[in-house]
Amino acid sequence: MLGGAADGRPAMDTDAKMAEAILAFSGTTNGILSVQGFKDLEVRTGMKLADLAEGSEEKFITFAQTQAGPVPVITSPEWSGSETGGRRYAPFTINLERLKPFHTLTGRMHFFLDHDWMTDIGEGLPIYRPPLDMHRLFGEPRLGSDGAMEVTVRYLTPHSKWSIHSEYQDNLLMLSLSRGGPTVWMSPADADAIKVHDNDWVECTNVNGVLVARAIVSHRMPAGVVYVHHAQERTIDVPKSEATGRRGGIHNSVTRLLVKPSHLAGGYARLAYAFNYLGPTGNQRDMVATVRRRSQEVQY
Amino acid sequence: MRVMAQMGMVMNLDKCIGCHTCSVTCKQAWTNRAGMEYVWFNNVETRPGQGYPRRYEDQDRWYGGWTLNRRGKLALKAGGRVKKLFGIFASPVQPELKDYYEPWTYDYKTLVDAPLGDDFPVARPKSLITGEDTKITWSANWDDDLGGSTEHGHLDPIVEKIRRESEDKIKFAYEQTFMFYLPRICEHCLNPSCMASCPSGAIYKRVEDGIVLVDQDRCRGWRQCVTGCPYKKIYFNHKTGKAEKCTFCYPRVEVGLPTVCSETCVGRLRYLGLFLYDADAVTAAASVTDPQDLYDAQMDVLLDPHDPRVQAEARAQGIPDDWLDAARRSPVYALAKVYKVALPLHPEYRTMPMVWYVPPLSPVVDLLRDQGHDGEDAGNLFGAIDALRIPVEYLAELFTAGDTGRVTAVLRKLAAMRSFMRGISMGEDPDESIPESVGMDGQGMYDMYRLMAIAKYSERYVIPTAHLEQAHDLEEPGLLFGFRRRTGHAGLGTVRRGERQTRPGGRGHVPRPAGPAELGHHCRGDKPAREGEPAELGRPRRPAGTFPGQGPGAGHPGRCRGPAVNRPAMNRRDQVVYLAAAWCLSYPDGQLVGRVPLVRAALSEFPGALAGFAPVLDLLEGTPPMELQAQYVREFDLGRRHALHLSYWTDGDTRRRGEVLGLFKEAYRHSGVLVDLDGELPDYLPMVLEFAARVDGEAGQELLQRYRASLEMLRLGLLRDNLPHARILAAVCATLPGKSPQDEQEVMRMAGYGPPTESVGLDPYDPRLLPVRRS
Ligand code: SF4
Ligand code: SF4
Repeated sequence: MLGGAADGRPAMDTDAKMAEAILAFSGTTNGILSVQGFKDLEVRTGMKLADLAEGSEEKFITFAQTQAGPVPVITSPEWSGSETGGRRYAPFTINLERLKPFHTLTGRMHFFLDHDWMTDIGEGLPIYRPPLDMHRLFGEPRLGSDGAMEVTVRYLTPHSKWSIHSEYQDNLLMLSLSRGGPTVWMSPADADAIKVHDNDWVECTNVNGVLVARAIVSHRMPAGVVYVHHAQERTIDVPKSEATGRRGGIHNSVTRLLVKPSHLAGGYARLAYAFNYLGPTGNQRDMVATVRRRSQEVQY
Repeated sequence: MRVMAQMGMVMNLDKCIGCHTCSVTCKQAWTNRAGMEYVWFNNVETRPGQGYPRRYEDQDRWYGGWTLNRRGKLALKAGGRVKKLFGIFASPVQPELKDYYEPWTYDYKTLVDAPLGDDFPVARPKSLITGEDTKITWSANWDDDLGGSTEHGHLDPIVEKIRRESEDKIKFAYEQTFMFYLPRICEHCLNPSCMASCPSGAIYKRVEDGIVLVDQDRCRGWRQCVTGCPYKKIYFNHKTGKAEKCTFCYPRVEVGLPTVCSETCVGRLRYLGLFLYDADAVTAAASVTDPQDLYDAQMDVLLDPHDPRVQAEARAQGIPDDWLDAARRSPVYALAKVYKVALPLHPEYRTMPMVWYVPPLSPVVDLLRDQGHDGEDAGNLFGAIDALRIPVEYLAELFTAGDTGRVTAVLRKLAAMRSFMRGISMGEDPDESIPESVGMDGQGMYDMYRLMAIAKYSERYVIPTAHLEQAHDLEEPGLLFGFRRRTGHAGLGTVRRGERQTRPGGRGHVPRPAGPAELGHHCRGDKPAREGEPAELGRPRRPAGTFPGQGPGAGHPGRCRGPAVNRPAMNRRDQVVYLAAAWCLSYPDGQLVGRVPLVRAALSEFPGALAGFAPVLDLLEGTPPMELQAQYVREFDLGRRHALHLSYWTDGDTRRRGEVLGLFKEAYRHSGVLVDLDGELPDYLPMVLEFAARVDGEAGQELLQRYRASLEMLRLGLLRDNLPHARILAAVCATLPGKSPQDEQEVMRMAGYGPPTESVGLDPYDPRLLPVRRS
């Protein structure tokens, strides 16, 4: 309408129209595309697939529908699960039941990487690798207690039972049902070594940063390891640290991304299929930190 | 034999993941109020652990429950009437705030108010008791997942006892870690010691379903019940000075819905259903000498609902047939008495608790697995149950007064089920020798597996509704939102969400056609009435002689029950206006749109009444349903500009709101109706309007007038955004005394309020909130 390249094409000048466009382009919301996608896939794979979406041609999920309430999506080749017939989504259903090849170079579930670098470093197959020696590599303190009131431990950041990344951890009810702020789970042995009692304020530091939190001492933890649950709320009960004088950080203040050579293996078909960790896994959680009991008078 | 019915619950502990959803939803529904900050009707404790309140199981300290006196008679552990009489003015032995926890909040306001600085702002904890900065040192769930076991683990009364008495000591060592979650509510005991402790007779056990409640009008705040209850599941409200407790969500249960904790349980581990029991046998059963015999005694009190003699007796006692049917299908009866896998919590307290637990096998399986064994092999499991003394002894202290034999028998059944079913799912022939080894047969074991592993909603919750055939008043469906309830789905709130979910895809949902013809029938006589006759608005049609819950496919009855309602105080015109407004402001589903002609006809019988409604009615008829619904959700659900909840305008999302909402519910109850809100807040305008139109004109009008300011604000908001609904609001306001104000300022002046601000928990130092001290 303005004489530009968009003339004669559907307008996408509002957020709602943009959303409409996205819905129109996805097989999960546009039945015609879903059926079409499966038909194409039938040609490419030689397997019968289109019946998974048949009867969906008529379906078209509009933005208004998504506003009126949650809408179940249409089974589509964009995903590997099948919701046809009211089934619950599970990954790889189509690959397993309809023998659609997996998205690997061989088309099979595939764990072997025959890249020269992978072979050289012995990681052609998934393999356990011990944690790095952060002392030798980066000059972090040695593991264990050094006699001073500090203990150096492996610093793990698992997801808690209440969260993937966020679960309203600033919610008063949930906080009243836990310790009410950031915590570090420690073993009795490590806590003893630095004279920390349950609920004492501690600081975890390394070259990356610092975390201030209260200790939970439990025999559920093995010695030499602390848990700092992933993504605890940084706006709740985080005092200033003694180490820096600044606000005491979050779980990721102490971690950092580590790149290893195999992450750089490129130009290699087996590793080129998609983003998101299809290849050697990330290892930014491979950390050590030094835990110290701090002054129990905290400043905010 | 005196047959009585009791609602009971079973929780299958192996499935509890300790997510605390039940605690949070319960708190939101019942105790999110001032004076109740520290109260959790439902709590989930990690065991081993002290529980909530701390060490509540230590009856040497708290004197909860019953004991046998020298003559072998039941007596309250805290002492009988005479002792009570002398002690009545002294504070009884009961946990203090430090035993529960000192509730706190955070200085959330700083997060938005803090001036620009070097560091991001944080909210620090503030005591809800003193209003001062505080350091958090205990919470409602401090020892979650064995946290702090080094410092507090030994304080668990059961750990103490086992360390004292057993040769295998519980050690808190990494390699021997075991734990499980124990969700707890009030036990709704057959022999409630809370009730026996109350000097005012304020606590009663409902005749029809055994739910134990506190009559708030009669409670004098003696707090003897807090001492009396060995489970510490009765709490003192510091603000009202009265005792409160878990209500088993009776307003939901009465209409066939599960309790909030059950409904929301993530692990789907809760079962609800009826027990029939012999009320004459309770005292004797609670008085058997050896505490380890109490389990058997309690089982004997439970009657077989399939036994014709029991049925005849029950009928003679006035237990309705649909209840007897529910008792026969009861999952709790099946788990407790048929399969004998559910055990009562602390039978030794002699209160005959009615919340039962399937003890967890997982501590045993986990230990096996951690030692590298196959945790699903029957032989391994049986061996481990016998060898791993600690978890078994611990469970025995919780569920069988220390009798490990009984717990072992249950665990062996669970183990057998596990390996029997593993064989089947691995495609092997069922190995009948496994069920035989625990005295069952393959079919029985499979049935038990079905009930415990994959039972559907309707099998897990078998809840008969409030006595239908006795409630003559049900013939008069003064149904709050009852007109939506005819399809037999869950209640309004969930139906609405559910329908929205399925409607667009059109999958699995058959919309019920509801034309005007359907509305124009009397319920009682089923005789056709003139279309548009105001009195017929909202009356569901049913085949003659059937009432909700009886007809085929009718899952639940109407939403409310009560004396014949509809007091004649209000004039007919107002009534029609209210009802029409209620419908026009509700979510526009097919049913509602189908009623537009009827609404039109009814309104046109009153001169001038139709005008205000016509634009919305036109809109309802002239707009495609999807667009209509999207618009409704956008205008009324997603934003707050046109909030249809009356107290939103006055109290916002502050903590006061809970109390205010309570007042709405109270108004409904005072009119003698049971309202199942089911997901909708009681101040939802359509609900209030319908209440005024169909149930109690006077009280309804009073509510509307009390929230006149909200109505006017809503009207002005709608007007501002050019929504035709504004005129409906105007029509409603016109039925109320006084002139409508012109603008927001005038409304505020009229009502004397500003935007809602939080008042709860921010006051400094309210002496009523102080911990109660023992003198
Ligand atoms: S558990 Fe419930 S019914 Fe039993 S004594 Fe305690 S408050 Fe009363
Ligand atoms: S909601 Fe269910 S699974 Fe979660 S803690 Fe409560 S009882 Fe356990």
